[in-house]
Amino acid sequence: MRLITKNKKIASRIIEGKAFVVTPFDSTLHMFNPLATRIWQLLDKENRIEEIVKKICQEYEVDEKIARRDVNELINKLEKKKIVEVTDPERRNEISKHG
Amino acid sequence: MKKDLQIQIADLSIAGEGCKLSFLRLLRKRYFSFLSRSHPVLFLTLNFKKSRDYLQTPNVRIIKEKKNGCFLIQRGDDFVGVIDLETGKGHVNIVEDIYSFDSFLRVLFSLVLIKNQGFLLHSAGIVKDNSAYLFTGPSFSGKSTAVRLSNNFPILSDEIIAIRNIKNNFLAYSTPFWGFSKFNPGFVRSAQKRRFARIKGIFFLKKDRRTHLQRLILPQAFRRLLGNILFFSTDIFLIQTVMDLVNNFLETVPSYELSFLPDKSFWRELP
Repeated sequence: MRLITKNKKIASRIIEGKAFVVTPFDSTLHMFNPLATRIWQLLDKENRIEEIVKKICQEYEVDEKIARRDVNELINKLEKKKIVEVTDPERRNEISKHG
Repeated sequence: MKKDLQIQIADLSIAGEGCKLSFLRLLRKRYFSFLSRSHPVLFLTLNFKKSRDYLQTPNVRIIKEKKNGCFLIQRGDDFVGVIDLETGKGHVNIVEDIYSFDSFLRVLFSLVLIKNQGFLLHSAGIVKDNSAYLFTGPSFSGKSTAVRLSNNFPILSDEIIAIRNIKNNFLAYSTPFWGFSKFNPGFVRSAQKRRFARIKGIFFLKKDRRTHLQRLILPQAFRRLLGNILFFSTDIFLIQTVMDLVNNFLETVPSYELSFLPDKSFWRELP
């Protein structure tokens, strides 16, 4: 189970339904589309991918498969840009068990 | 406290001591219209040095120190200092030339303004009917051209304007920072005065074959405006403050894209 947290070293603001995120380490302003903005808002309260996928399915009335693909794609992009941090506690436990 | 020099921009006064008399005369001449005697928000101890590496292309750094409100500011070998916005004191080592000092002032005011609900914007500012019209965009977008075509109106600057939120009114203030118009000293002398006016609108310039005005929605204007603010820090708190200020500014002040043919007719299109 992957857990997503917003990077604390970024600044963001939502303006008329669009999230704007500044990453100071590369001085870049990122503008999110409405779906990405909604996922960004959900990350304030929820950090489990499964729960975010469930919410997106309900709100946008899309198949779980499509929602999962979209959420994963966005999270991977945000992780690459260091806007979010992704951790996998189960995998971490596994690694520590097996040394 | 001994104050050799006191410069005021956007009603914020910064005092400094430590200048040699010959350099002090030069600075007083350069910033003549912006000299002040009001209570300073910041008092600086300046240490001037002679050497300068002419081949460097240094980046500006503003780094938050551990102490609350304390910032290190640096531009290569040109200047380095620690500014404490909480106590209102600072120490700066700076090369004794007018270019380094001007660059230092821009960086310093970009920081001091954020602390005082304001920011520096790359824009030309023109006052008409007691209202400020701000024309913004990157270099060569037409800021100096707009000023040149408006020489019957008071000018705030052709390059950098200070903006402050005073009791939910956004005001534009003149600055001593000028672009291409500085090559016309007679024009600058007559235009460069300490002035301010309530902002009527902000116009993102686009050179075109016709003059055309289009209202921008807030997210479009936000992205564009953020890119034209003089801002050097990587500190999260300062970035967040600027984002909040810009959002507040754009909710109050209407923004437009102004496609313009470089002649005086563009004024007819403005609200």
